[in-house]
Amino acid sequence: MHSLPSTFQVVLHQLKKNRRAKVGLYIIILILIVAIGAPLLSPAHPENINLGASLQAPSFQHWLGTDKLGRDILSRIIYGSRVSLIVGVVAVGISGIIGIILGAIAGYFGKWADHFIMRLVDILLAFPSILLAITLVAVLGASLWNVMLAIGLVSWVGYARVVRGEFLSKRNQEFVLAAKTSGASYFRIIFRHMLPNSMAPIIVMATLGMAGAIITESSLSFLGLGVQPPTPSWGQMLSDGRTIMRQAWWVSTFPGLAIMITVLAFNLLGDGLRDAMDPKLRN
Amino acid sequence: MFNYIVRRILSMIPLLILISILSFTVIKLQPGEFGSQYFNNPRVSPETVIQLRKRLGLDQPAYRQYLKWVKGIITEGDFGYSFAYKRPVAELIWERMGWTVTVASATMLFTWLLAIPIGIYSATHKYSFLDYIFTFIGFIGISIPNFFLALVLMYLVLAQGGTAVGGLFSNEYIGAPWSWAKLLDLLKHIWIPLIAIGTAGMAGLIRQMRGNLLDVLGRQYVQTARAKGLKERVVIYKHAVRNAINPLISMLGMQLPQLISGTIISAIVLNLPTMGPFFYDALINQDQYLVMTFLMFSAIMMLVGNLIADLLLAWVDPRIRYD
Repeated sequence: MHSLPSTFQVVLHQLKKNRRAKVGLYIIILILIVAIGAPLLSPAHPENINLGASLQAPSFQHWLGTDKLGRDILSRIIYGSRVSLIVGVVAVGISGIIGIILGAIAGYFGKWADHFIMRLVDILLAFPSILLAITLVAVLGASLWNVMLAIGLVSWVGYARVVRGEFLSKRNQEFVLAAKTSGASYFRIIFRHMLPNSMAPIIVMATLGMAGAIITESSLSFLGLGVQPPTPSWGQMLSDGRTIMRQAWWVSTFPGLAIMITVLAFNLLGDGLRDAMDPKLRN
Repeated sequence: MFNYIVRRILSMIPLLILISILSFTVIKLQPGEFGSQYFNNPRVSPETVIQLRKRLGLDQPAYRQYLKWVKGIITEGDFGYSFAYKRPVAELIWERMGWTVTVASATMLFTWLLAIPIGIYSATHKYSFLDYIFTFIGFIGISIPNFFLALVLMYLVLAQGGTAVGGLFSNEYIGAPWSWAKLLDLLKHIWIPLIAIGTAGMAGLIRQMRGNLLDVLGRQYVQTARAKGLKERVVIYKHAVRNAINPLISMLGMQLPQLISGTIISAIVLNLPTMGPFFYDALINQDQYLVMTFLMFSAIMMLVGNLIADLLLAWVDPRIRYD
């Protein structure tokens, strides 16, 4: 464990020099503040219907305009950030946990365990993940929890492969052998010794995974398979305005931009992290 | 080589069996089945629904339905019957395959033709103004949901007074025999799907190409090539690019199937006559054999695509040999 803080510091130092990663991080922090402070920041209640003020263009009163039911779009975008972030975090958590555990078992024990898990990976890789996610949600029923579950279940393969690869290369190294000889349990060797030494690529994947999960969630919501109305989510708002793009461009455009900026921020941070953790790029 | 191909194809069979069992299980997790929607329909009597179920074989246990489906495929090449369309599933999918493959192939061609040169330029002009611009566009391209991009492009065309929006043809050409005017009409329509569906993949390709080439340009054999006085153009295109492009070729096999089924949503937005929207409807209608067959098609394409990519790689890269 002694090497971990220093690695961490090196990465932090590299990250500070990476302008892209910093921009990404700042945007993410801003979105987090917006999501947490939604009740304080939003000018109106996101579910407040006012048919007298339907489809109003952006103005001082409604900065980003109103939708068909006269609801304030800015407020709905602010509240929608909660859905995107929660889905992102939980879906990445689910896929990360499944992927790490299966990858660790495959890489550490090898033999039939590895064989079995890799067949499972092959099966999942035979489908584009969005196709599987849509199928799963359609089967399980549309809800916030099912969306998170579906995205988590279809995107653990990357983590499993990375962890397996790391474990295969590490399982015969001295520090693992030393732990084994001193009588540490499998559990302890895997979680205390090997996993902390394989964290770098996992963190990068998780950050980029947030971007992917948020896009997938918006796609599912767009199809009506996500969070159910009246709770606002960006994908569903985008879909609401789809047919009235010509009369009221703002209904779809602003939620679309919100998705794009959020996903961009996670992509920038993930990319910067990858560079910061790559010893080849260090100077 | 021949042995290798045979071995790979044989190894697909157990995998496909597993995939089909898993897909069927997932579909069967869906509460109710095709018949249940009629139970709430006051115009259809419950007896009719029960009869319908019996006729479609839906009253039997799931494993028997599955075995019957598999048996049909093996013995008669029959992929089952679509409940909603009342026609054989294979026929329905076949009808949509043409346009799906056309749109996907055109998208792939478009992305590769643009991405590779841009990637080469960005790598050879690292940190130049244009490199920054391309990198920035690349990040946007990866981050924008393709259905949003499709919507924006459609809006912009409409706002300019254009009409060539949605679908692949104007109304008067749908079902009309092929002519120059029809081809022209297709070209007027197809650029929106190409950009909307292709942008994310293109951005990824540019980044990969740039990264790989930068990696290769730092190798010693490139230095050697320069040192022995080769022209920079030869160094880049004959020595560096050929090696940098190999990892992209191994991704090629997954791209086509991913484009075919991965763009369901933008195809719905753009009203394209492709597999994606069709699959989604089938899923919602619980048209189980249609869903199964599409999933299996998708998986087979992915597996075959990977095999082709591996063979292509062996052909391009003389260092790789399969025995």
